[in-house]
Amino acid sequence: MENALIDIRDVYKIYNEGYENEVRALDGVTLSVTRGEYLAIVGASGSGKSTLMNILGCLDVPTYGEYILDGEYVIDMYDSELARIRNKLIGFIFQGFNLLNGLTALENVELPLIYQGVHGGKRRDMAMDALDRVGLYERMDHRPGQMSGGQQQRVAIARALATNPSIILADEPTGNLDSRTGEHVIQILAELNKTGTTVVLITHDNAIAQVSKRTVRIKDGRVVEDTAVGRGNAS
Amino acid sequence: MKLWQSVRMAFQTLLAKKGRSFLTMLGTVIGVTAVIALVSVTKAQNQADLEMIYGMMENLVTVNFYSYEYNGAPPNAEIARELKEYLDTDLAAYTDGFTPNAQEYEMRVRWGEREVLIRPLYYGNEQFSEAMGFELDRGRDLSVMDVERANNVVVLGTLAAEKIFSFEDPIGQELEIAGIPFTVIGVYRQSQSQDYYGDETYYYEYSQDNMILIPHTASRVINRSMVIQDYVIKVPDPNTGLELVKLLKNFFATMLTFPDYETMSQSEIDYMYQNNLVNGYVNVYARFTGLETLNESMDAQTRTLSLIAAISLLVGGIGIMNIMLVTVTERTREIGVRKAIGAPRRTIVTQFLIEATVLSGSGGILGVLVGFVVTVYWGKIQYDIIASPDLPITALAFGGSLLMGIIFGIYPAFKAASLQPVDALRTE
Repeated sequence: MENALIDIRDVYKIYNEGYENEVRALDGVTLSVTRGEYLAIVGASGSGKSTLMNILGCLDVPTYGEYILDGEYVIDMYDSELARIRNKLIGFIFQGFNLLNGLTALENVELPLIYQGVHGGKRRDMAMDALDRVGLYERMDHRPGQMSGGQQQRVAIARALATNPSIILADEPTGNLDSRTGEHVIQILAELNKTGTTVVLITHDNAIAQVSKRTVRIKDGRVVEDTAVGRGNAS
Repeated sequence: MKLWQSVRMAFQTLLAKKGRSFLTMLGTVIGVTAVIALVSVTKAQNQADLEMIYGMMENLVTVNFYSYEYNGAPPNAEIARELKEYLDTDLAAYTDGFTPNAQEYEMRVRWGEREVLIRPLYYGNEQFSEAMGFELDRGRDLSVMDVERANNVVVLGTLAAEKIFSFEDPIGQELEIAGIPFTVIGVYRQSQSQDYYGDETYYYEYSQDNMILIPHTASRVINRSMVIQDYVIKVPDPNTGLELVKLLKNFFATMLTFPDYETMSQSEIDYMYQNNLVNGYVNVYARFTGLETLNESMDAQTRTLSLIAAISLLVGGIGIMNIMLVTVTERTREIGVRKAIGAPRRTIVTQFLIEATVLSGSGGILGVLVGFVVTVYWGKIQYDIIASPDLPITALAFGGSLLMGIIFGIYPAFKAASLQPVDALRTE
């Protein structure tokens, strides 16, 4: 898999290793994602899917194993390099939105661009463009508290895609939303994928997982199923 | 992220919690206020004290020569001449007047049939009136010529003139001192009021206006054994006087005939005595020698006070650290989000450092304002002086408050930056 965007090999995440209360959150996961894929990672609560997502997003480091992201070995990276990777390559969408309440929608979307060093009018344009793509151009001056859950999640999506990341990592993006708004969010993700962005969706909901092109099922920290919809089994 | 943006954001964050921010600032406000007010008022008070002490002092430096030669010619005549030259040229800025200070305690003066007792008779030079604080009223003062030629001329104190001449004009009159005729050339203005002496009799006996002055060069005709040993130098103010004493001591130290007991070792002095190299000694002193010690003790007092006040500034800094730690805990999730979307450690550290500094700096500015008001008000109420805030101390106190923000912001800032994003995001 030379062209893999995400390539993790034999990744373990073990808490309290060697003790009685040892927990193997990830127990040898190997996974490869190519550019432009729409992947759903499905698993029940406690299956290890969130741990996998944290590792994929460079928010956490595995106990063992290798992780090559866009050709770069991220395991031994310094904090500042990881920050750069998160900033440039990955866009996060969280279940709880995780917007900064003190900032307006526009300022929230601008934040990753600020860390990227984009200045002034250009940053503003990019942020407004991202808000436009999620249909919230008119609401850019609103603060999170003044918006509905669905709108907040769309702001979060705009924040994730403002930097034009290679990967969108969405962790239960519909978990805090009613089904209709949830569908809308899923639809936005699908559209993003059509424009070439790799989307990794983490969910416990099989119905949501079905929109993806490929489903990876996690159980007890292991990959138990890897199905490519319409293409038969992959890898 | 640009600095001003961070500062603006820090202000927004602090304004969002006005009550807490204000209470945190209070420590710094009190610290800065204390430093400025305590130091400024103390300095103003010290200055007022000094000025009062200056006012009570006669600004005189005295030089004494003592000769060991039996009744001989003053061994110091040559040195006195050199001293005068030195004072008139190099040290002109240090002196307001220089005169020999020798006198006959009392003297009978005759004018026609009238004989009057005056006290004292001064032997002086042309700078006598300046050095001793007399002002000319009528006629003229002693001149350089009078002194050089040892003219038999006399200037009268106002009381002496009144006693001798009653209502006649003394100028140009001739009177006899110890049988020698002297011409009156001038009369001094009254220098001290009668009230100073309490009652009239006492005034007539002891007023310093009951004096007369003749050129010191003319002393021989009155008192053959007169040796002038004392010289008086009037200085503009006590501190200049202290400088002058130092300079003169150095000046005399170059003349080996007079051992300086303060700078020479005992063996050196002994050597000079044993080899008859000593024919006298010179003593230079100011009447305000305590002033140097006073200055030092006032400075020490100011330093101690600023230290005590600085401690309250320190306590304010610790308060800031405390609240910043609370803030970091409260905003763990925010820090997690920022890190997740790519904020490097440096940015997080900077953000919290700036927040702490803005907090302490705002406290500092407020402290400066309150400090100014307290200084003026306290100075007026407590000491009845116009105390103006000391600007260097103000700058120092404000700088100190900023520094406190940075120093006590470092720990919370690093604590925030070292949070693992995954742990930070997990926090609710």
